[in-house]
Amino acid sequence: MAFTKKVTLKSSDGELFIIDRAVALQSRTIQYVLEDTNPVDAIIPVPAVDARTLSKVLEYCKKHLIDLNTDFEDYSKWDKDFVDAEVWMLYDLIMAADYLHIPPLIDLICDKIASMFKGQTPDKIREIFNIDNDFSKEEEEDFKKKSGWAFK
Amino acid sequence: MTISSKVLKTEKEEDVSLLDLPELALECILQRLSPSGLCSMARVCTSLRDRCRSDHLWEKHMKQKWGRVIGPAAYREWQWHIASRKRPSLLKKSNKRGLSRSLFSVCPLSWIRPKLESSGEPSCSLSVDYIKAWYLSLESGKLWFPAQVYNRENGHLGFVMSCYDALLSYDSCTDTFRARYSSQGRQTIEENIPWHRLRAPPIDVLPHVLHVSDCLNDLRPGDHIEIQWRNNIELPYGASSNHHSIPGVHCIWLVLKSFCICYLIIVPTSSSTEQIHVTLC
Repeated sequence: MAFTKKVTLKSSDGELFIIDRAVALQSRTIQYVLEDTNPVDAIIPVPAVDARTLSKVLEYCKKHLIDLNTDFEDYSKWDKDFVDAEVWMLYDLIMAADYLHIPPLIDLICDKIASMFKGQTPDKIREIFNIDNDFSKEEEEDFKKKSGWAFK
Repeated sequence: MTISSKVLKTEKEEDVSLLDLPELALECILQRLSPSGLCSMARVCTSLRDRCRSDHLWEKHMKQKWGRVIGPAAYREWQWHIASRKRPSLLKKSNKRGLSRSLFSVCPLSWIRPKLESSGEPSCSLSVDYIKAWYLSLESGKLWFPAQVYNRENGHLGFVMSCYDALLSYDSCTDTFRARYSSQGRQTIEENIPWHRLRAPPIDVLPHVLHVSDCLNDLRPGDHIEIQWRNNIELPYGASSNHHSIPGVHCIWLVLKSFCICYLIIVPTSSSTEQIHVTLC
């Protein structure tokens, strides 16, 4: 039954990805689809994820499947390089990981995003993460008054 | 993902904002932030401000940093502190509303948030970011909290557990504490006390209040006990305690010798590996 070991995923922009079933099973969303319908040779649509993001997610799934015997240090180095990406790419990845339900990948990207906040001023955070400042002038003034004490 | 964010994404990917992330992911990110990180985030926008002051994010930091030195007495000190800060605003309001506020401050409820914010008083924010405010008042050194300080001889045999009761204030620049206590009737301050010399009082009684131990009858040979004696009721912070590496009988004799002015506290302890045989006659 070798043919059952392959699964075909279809991205939101119509690209097909033929991958090992074991790789696809790292996504709980796909796991549920496979368990429920067991589609042999069928195409599983992934409507919330585009091809560029999906290929990146699958890259992660393949790595984490094949290299189970790799020691921890090698693994974390690979992970670190994997998330060394633009903010919008991290956004796409985290939304894809959320949709496909891959908890370790969500954790990895959350770690990365949280580390990007470290030591940044509110202004810089708004700039990097594309957030509008919706505080009133009074509230801003209030912050200035209270900023007499800060963490070391 | 919302429809609007999807449209936005296809039009121009760089326009996606952190706030468009799935709820779970955003929560995961905030959980990874340090206290100073949460404070910076709270100043980014109103939505993040509301998220970053929630108690569940601060509880972890509170336990991690302050759990070991904060006891029930320190908690009461904090409650008293916020109650006294609220007093001026209570004078302006009707008594009825003031009462309901002080109740909410003890048990923060999310549904009262809009009401409190609409009144626009800075003191109100204490009600919605209870643990955050507590953490910051400890971190900034503004709150003097009761705890016990191991004496300077800490570590020397015979003074292993010798300590005094004091009010403590933290200095975040040096990561040490100031202790304020009364010695021989004079207010005394000790500076630069490191973390390892602090502990929460093992029994929740005020330093000058006699504690009648309710476990004396249950003591058995081999039990570990801690004896604290206080030498003058008028000098509440002049107390000391001693976990004996010497036989229990010896300590009790010390207490009995100056019977009129000493109090005995016995705390069963299980952490020590010393085998102390207590003989009570």
